[in-house]
Amino acid sequence: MAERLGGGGRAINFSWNGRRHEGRDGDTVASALLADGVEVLSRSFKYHRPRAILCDAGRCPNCMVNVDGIPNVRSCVTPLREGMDVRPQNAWPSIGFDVMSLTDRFNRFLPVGFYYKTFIRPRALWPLYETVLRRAAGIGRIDEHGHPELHPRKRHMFADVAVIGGGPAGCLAALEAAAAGAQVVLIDDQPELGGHLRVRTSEVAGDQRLEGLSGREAAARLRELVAAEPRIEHLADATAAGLYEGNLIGVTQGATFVRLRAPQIVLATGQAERPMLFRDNDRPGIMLASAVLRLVWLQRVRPAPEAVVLTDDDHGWRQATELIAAGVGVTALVDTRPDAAAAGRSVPAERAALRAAGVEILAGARPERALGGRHVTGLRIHTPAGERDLRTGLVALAGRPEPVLSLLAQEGVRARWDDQLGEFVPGDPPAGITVAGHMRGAGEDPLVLAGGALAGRAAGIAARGLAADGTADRIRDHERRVAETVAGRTPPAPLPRPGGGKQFVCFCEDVTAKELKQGIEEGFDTLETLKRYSTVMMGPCQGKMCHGLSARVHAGLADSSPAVTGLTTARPPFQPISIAALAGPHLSRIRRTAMHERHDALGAKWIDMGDWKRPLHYGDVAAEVRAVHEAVGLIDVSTLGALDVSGADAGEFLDWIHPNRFSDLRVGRVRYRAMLDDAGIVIDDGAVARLAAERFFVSTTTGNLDGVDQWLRWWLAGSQRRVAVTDVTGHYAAVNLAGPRAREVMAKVTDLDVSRAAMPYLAAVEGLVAGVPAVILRIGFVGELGFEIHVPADYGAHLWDTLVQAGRPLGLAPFGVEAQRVLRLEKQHAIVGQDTDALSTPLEAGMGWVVKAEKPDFIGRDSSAAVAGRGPRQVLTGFEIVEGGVPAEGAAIVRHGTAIGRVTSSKWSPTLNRAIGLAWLTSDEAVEGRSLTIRLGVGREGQTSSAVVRTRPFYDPDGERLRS
Amino acid sequence: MSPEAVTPIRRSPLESIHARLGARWRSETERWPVSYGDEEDEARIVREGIALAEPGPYDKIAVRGRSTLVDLRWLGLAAGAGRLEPARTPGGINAWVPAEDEAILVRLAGVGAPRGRAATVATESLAEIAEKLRSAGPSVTDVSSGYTVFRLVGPRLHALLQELSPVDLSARAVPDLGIVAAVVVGCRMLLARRDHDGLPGFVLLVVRDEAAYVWDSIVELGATHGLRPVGAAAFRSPDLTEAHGAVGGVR
Repeated sequence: MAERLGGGGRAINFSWNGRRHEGRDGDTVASALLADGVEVLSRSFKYHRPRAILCDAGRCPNCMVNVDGIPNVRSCVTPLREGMDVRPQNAWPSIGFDVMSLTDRFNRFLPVGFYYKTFIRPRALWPLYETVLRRAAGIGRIDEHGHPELHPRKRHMFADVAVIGGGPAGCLAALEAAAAGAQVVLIDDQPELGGHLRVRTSEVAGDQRLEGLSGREAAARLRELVAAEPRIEHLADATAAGLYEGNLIGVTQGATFVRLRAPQIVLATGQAERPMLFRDNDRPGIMLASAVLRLVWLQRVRPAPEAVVLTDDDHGWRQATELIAAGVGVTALVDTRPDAAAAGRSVPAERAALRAAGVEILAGARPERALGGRHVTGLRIHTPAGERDLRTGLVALAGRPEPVLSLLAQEGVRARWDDQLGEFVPGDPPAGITVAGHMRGAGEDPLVLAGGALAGRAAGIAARGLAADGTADRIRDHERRVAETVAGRTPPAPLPRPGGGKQFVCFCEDVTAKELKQGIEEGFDTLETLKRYSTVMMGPCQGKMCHGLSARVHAGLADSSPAVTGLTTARPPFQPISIAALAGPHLSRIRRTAMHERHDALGAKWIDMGDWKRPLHYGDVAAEVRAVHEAVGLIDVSTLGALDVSGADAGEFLDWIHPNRFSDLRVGRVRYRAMLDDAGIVIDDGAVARLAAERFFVSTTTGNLDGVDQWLRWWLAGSQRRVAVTDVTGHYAAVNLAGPRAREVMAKVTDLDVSRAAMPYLAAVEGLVAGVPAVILRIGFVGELGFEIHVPADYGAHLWDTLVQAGRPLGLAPFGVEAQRVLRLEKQHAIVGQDTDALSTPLEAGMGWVVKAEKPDFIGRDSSAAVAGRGPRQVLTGFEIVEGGVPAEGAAIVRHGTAIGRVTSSKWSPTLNRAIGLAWLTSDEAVEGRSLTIRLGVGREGQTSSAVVRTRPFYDPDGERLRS
Repeated sequence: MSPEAVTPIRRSPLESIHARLGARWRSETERWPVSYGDEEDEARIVREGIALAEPGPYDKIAVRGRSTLVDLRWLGLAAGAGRLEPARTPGGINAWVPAEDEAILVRLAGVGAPRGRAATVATESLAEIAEKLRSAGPSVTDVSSGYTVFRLVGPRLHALLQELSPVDLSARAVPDLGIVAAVVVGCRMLLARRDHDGLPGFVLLVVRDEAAYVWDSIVELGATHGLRPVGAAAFRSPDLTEAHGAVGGVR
């Protein structure tokens, strides 16, 4: 029976499964429940067996609960807070009586991989199977309608040295690196530094700063030293979840995800105890010895007054001594190794003290099974003298701890099996990463402490580029001592071959040794394939509790060695991370034009075009179209890209970039531009205006600005051309004033002569408009007399206001992108990227006139010549619907069931009172008046429209209105 | 309406945001905030929290070409690449020189040669400087509206910068007057470290179209760090030369 030690802190009220409980300040959720009589915290994944605290360090899945609506919270490392609503998960109808625990009784019908084999037929029932299986298995459930207040944040940190692990080696590494002048970030997943020393009473030796102190005192001393060092930033309660290329470390700290970069990393992630293998090794009351010590020292809760300690290494003897010091009596120490004296190895130093404390030492004994049902009541062991039951309410597992290698493995460093140590040890880390402390496999204090200090010193010196100071020599000497120590170690007892019953290897996925055996017998005989088949190591702990054990069990079953079996590939995250923490910022980049507020005030319905916000329409598309045709419309075209291309060679450079010519363009004139890639494919279009002899104003499509800018700069790189390209998109706000009355509006806002004679079609003029310096281009996309006006964006709203005020008496109406799309379709103007694709050549897209084959060279010349030589295979052409609905963009055009083309754009034209569009057709089908059948597309399967080909613009085919 | 009757109004890209905060404008035709009402409180934010301001308006020209740095040296406007060359006199030109072949010259709008005095580089208008540069070789383009200027100043700035940008913007990585091209809240921009009265500070050259998004994002992420928007008066002057007191109608 668990009991609270001492008075504890202030009382904290919380609820478990709807019932009120009381904990103490300093408690975790799990310790508070344990102290208040609640032991079973969860039900296992598959067999729904009762599970209780196992590691008390946030590594295993046993204590996962739902806290305030958030599932899968590790209650053993979650500080208790007032008012917490804690609930069990994966149990029905209650944690005490879970109907699904019947699966535990019928497990013979549920062999490994049973659902792969069982639920494959009939295939139509799979959705039902899936639903049932997902309900039966699994862990916490997300409230899909809830909005937990996660507030994830991102933080980017930089340091000279990052130290991962806040145990003694990590702390000393951080202190030494800081002493070398380095800026250090020390990451530790515990609320306070000190690592295992926080739960250790024996004296620490091997570092002057800690000499003679007990473990707990040494931990406190380390905390003081780190806190006093201004060059160290300590990230507490922070888990290094991933180690990536370029020494990037992903760290989770509460709701914050930290991306930390450091040229030097010291890994001091230590070692950890793991479960041991025997029947029913998952019974509540069986926990790691370190968990018992953590409960007692850190949370002041004693899980039981007495314990049986089970070990396969000298480590268990030390832990037994520590348990006694912590006030937990040890009735027996079961060591699976033969008696030391008989086996010829040195007798553990703790033997006399343990015997004096009344501990029965049972060497050469093998655990057979745990006794008891909902709670362990004893341990059945097999001794040389025969079978024996040890009665106890607490079994403390103290097998040899394994180095925590996952982060290093994420860097691609393969762990190596050391026969002498009987464990996996780290391989050689890459440059910039050092391994220190218990990870090295030599667990004696002097080596751990010296290793940490030396690693830190070396990392600090390397990060700061300081001259060598003898540290390298000391490291070499240290390495030699480590090797000597390791050579003197004896491996733990080998694992016995799994017997009957459930011996859990993987607590997360409820995978037993027997199931691994079945998997191997079925042919999944490598650890990687066995992992995928059995799901061992694939649960929430990601192998932290079972990776080494799985490899050892596999090796035993396959009559191999762990050296051959190896470990599976480690991938981030080391610890589960909420998707919210990994997600990008909830803020997504938005670009607004200078007239954004004006559109908003007019009730614009917005459309996202890349990062830009553009008005789709202002409520009545047909009215907007009508205003452009009959009076005057105003559209914000600031999103078009604008580049200033200047310099003595600017004209010649634009000639090279484009298939048509610009060096002969007169100052004050505009020319259409289409840009091709090397394969002669159209990649952008727009206009080029020559504003001065050596200055061109180049417009691009809205989405292609960056691409065009980079394309131009790429072709200029290394060139001797005297050309400069400057992106002026942001500098200019632009509108297009279009319609038969546009000239009248212009005359009201500028002193410039805007007559047809002075400012004809394709003129480019600089002058004041609305009192603001402007570039005016006599071009348009919508088929009417148009003025494209560019002014500095700081005056964009002013220009808009002035034009609206001047135009209102003339019937001016703002129009949006939707009206523009209708208007341009009436003119059969193509949009690059919508009506063209990665195979569209100018000849086929109806822009053949733009290619000046007589030019000596330009980008895409050879390809264009080749296309011209073979003739177009497909043609972009117009169509109008004769009967039926408006086809979707992308709809197939068929003849006798065979595709002959596809629709790229289609709209209802209020002007023409019929649906029109553009489509790619095979060249033999693109004949004026040819009948077409168009499949309407998704959602209207089986429906078709009848259409006819129209090769000339639907509206003002000769362009008289545009040129007026 | 005659064209002459139109008085152009120059607007900050954040005009509506400033207006909602109760901005007192620099002038009716230049809508940049001098303050939001309590100048003393805003000055306190600068000293104790993090202040975010959009001083202005500034005129700006982009200079590009192989001889850019050489020509700026010739005009006494820059010494080297990779740094912000602050103006030497009130209302002078701040030269952002991220690389040897490109620069952006920035000056508080409306500042030019005082009447009756000989023009010097310090007092010439940007247009005059542009002409000199053009004649020397580089390409010069007016980008006055292309960027707006943000200032971030305050003792708690470092923690916020760690959230705003994946680039190391610590004092070690970017010394005072150092320039760095970085992504801030997902947007590319130039930043110059410009400390203020011993407090860490940055000047951000933000693309105009993205200014509202960048501002909103910084305000949201900065709220937990004590960030608040302030007017230019909180810095005594909107002039990046800083030490020269009242310039351009503020105070």
